[in-house]
Amino acid sequence: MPIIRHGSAVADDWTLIGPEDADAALSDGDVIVPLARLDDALAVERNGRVGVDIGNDADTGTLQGLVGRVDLIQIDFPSFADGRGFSLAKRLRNLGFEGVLRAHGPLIADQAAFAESCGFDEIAIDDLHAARQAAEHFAEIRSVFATTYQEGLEPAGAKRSILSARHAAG
Amino acid sequence: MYMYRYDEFDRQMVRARVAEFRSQIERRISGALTEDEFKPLRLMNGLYLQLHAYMLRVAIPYGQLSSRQLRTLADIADKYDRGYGHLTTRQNIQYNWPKLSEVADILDDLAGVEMHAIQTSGNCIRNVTSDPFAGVAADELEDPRPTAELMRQWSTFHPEFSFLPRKFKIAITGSPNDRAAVFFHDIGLRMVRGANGAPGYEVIVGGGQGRTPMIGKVVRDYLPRGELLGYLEAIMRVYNLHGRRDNKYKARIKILVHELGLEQFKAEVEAEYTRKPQTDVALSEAELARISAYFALPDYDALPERSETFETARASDPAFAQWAGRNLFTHKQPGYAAVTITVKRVSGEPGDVTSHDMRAVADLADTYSFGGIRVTHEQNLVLADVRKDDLYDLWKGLVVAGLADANKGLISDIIACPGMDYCALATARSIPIAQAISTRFADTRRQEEIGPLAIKISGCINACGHHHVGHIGILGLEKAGEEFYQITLGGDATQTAAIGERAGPGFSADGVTDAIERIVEHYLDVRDDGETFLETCRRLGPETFKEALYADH
Repeated sequence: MPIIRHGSAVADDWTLIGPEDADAALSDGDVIVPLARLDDALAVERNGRVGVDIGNDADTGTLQGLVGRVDLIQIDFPSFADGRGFSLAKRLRNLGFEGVLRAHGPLIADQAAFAESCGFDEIAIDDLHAARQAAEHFAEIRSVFATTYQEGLEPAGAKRSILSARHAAG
Repeated sequence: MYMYRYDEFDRQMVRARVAEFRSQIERRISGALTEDEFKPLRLMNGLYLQLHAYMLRVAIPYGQLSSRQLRTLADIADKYDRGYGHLTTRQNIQYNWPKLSEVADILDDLAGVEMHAIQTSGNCIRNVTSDPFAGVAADELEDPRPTAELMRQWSTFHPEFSFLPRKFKIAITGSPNDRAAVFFHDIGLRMVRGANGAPGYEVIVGGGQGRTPMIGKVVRDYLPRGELLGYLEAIMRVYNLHGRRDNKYKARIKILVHELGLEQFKAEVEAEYTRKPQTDVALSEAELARISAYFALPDYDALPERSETFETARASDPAFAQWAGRNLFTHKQPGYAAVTITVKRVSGEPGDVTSHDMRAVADLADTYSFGGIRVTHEQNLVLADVRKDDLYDLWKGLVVAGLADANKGLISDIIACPGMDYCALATARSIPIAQAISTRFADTRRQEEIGPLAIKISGCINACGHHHVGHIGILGLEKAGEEFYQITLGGDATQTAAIGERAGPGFSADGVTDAIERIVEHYLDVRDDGETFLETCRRLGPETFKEALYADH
């Protein structure tokens, strides 16, 4: 699955484990497991990192419990127009999550900067989608919007929002 | 002109948007974007696909325009459209006939005068609206425009809140007399003072019209001024996470507030707010102070409250006296008045302004009102700062331009949505009904005798014509290929907010004007001295009109 990080296509180091996959799949490498299998994955003696896929309708009460326990959280976007994932990401960052945040789904290039601003590190899109939307499109639109009006939502690379730039000391 | 002016950051953001939209159109043409993907992007640039053509809705932030901007709007109407535009109920203007291939050029022309079409549509935070008399109203506690501008910027390209469950509308009033319909917005703000006299806001959430009209509910009696953006963010995050996405008719925040219950909703918001306020209070205050400087008072002349020139003209010219009695609004500066220019001509299309109208108003604004114009949510225009000494000359200018109708707030000052003449969603026509009513009640003396009466007409249940809050509301529907019109009574968009009640079975397009006339005649029969239509309706209840309405049916 193509991964776009800061406007560039990169290799995917992670293996997605489905709800039906055998337990053996949990034993090695960097894996992303469904929320229901997270406890099992963490209990197994293993080499590699553990990430979790929380969908986009996870009970928001469970988010705090993920902080510090996993290396990656994948948030699904069932449709690019369903922006719930942006707020889930922002809330996870506010709760102190410092691992990798991955947006998974048919996001479009015009959402790349928004996703990064909300705390996502990378976007995982499927091959069909990637065939239409080259990484260059993501890079292009990302560069058009180099800053934001909003505090705490500065895109990667922007040191500060317009608000704080206007009122910076000196 | 005393309004917000862009700095380098604002200019850069609007330029970036135009560049992005050009790229989006190219990617749509190349197939990189599908039609489904392109649609919300064009909507967030104000571009709708209507019944016959594209429609471009241009943002007029909280209704404020300079004469230079209004002339550009006139030029756009001539160059890219059919010589007119349509003022909307959210203080914007829309063009009904632009070509898709020219839209990016229109956006370039707009950017040249610090205007845009950003977020005038789509499931994002829309243009913030306010009192058309903001900053000049005698009854105002505080000027709401700096806060409105602060929210305009904060909501622009918001990374987290650009793909919400549904559209989101915010209104603010600085006066206890609400002229911004704050109880009928997703978020309504009233400027208030705290116990210590410090400025802040009462926060109202979950009002709206549409299929499920609801009056907004207070979630905070008092929010200190510097905390506004952080608190708005908490409300928006709760909505973005929990608002329904399974049914677009249940996706507005009013449904979430209703389904969770006010107390539960409040608890969610307060919990989110304490988690992490995003915007530093001191920074927010500093930005408000920066913005406020743009809204400093104009260079008013020191004048007595009473103008002899005005009084003499009023005594000698009855037509002027009638207009002055109806279309003026009390200004906080002695010797000045705010003037409403209604664009509700007899048999006209409510809210339509031609390029000729726009240029005439721009010229009059330059001569008499510091070059500033406001658009009202009642689809009229306002010159906010006119010397009373100049009112007679201004009026003569309006007469020449054909803009001197003395009907503000009267039965012919109708709000109507575009209806089936333009809109793809409409189930019935609105404009011809408005035209028939304004023609029936064309006699201005009769209108004066009837007094304040707000008729609002929607051409479908989405209620863009605000029929729920009309003193008399008219809702156009369709049954077996025939248009018919339901009448509601007693709606009120102000601080005494109420949703109109259905009077009974609907009327045909031919019968609706007669029905309105029967209601009006009955009101004239039963009213107490000095009682307005709404007051009579409240005192006797809407049922009082039923017999008059249906007696001969």
